[in-house]
Amino acid sequence: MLGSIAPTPSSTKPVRVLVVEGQALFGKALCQVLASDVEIEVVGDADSIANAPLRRLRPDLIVLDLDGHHMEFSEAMRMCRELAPQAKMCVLSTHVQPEVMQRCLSAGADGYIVKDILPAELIRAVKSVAGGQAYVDPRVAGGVLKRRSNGFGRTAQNELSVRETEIIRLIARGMSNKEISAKLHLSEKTVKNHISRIFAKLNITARTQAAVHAIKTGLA
Amino acid sequence: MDSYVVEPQSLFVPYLSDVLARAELRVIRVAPTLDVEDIRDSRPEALFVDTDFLDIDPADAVSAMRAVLPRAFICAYTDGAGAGADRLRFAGANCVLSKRSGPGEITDALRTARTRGSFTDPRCD
Repeated sequence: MLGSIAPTPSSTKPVRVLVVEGQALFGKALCQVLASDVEIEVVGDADSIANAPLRRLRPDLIVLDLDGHHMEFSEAMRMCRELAPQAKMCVLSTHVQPEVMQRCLSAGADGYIVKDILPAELIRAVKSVAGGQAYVDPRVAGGVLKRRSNGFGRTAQNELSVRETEIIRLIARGMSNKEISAKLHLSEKTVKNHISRIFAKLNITARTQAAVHAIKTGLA
Repeated sequence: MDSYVVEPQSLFVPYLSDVLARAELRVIRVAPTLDVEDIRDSRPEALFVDTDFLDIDPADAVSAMRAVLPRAFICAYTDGAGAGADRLRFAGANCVLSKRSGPGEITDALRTARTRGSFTDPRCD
């Protein structure tokens, strides 16, 4: 966690939490864990932002799955901000790479949780974010500090977006455009466009160079 | 069936165990990573593996499980599209489940797989 532990919100008014998680069972499990705390009220769950009644539920905090959306993450964040401007945003991710976390925070997230978090820590994270504090998985925060101490970094102009980061990781795993499009629920054309932008940002011309970059920078 | 679960998302395990129990799969052991020796020593009748967090290729993981437990019921749980269901089946998985499935779909699929010998969620093909 970055910063001190936040005071929990008023005990008389539970934090209203909406869970948006593409992995259906995991979403239900999250709801169960969160609802076990008397200071948290789970007001709903959905498999995507598009299916979440944000205006009606008026959550104080949205726990948002980074990986399971059919749209760009930044677009999902924009929708949340537009439809539930009062809500804090806590991103759930399988990625421990600092780059992914930094892009989520840049897109407006207030917290970054990795999915292997323990139940008690999840509750603490949600309360911290609801109380106005930032929360980042300690492993990811440690990676940021390490990178800073190594003087590692790129200009913002050349930084990859969350989606581009996902795609370059899949390229490094040897996946074809077709496989990537299927995995991320994108069209092949969209994947190609993302890859073109990745190549331009990294000043490279081949997938193997992208894979090498991903490995060297810890993305894969 | 006594079941062994490979799943690193610990907060998810209690809920998953409840869902598996509805399909008559009793969780006897949970491991966050693939440990073939532990699987062999635990001698479960069924294996449930989350393929998205493995350090090795999911099909190779299923092959390794099949090698140590030739008669076990093996279920691969995957994020769906592009998961390579064919490879998982060829490696020895009896059941390939999508993470998009709700609890009812999961229990139905597991029962179908056990009755018919195999099941693959079409979203994983």
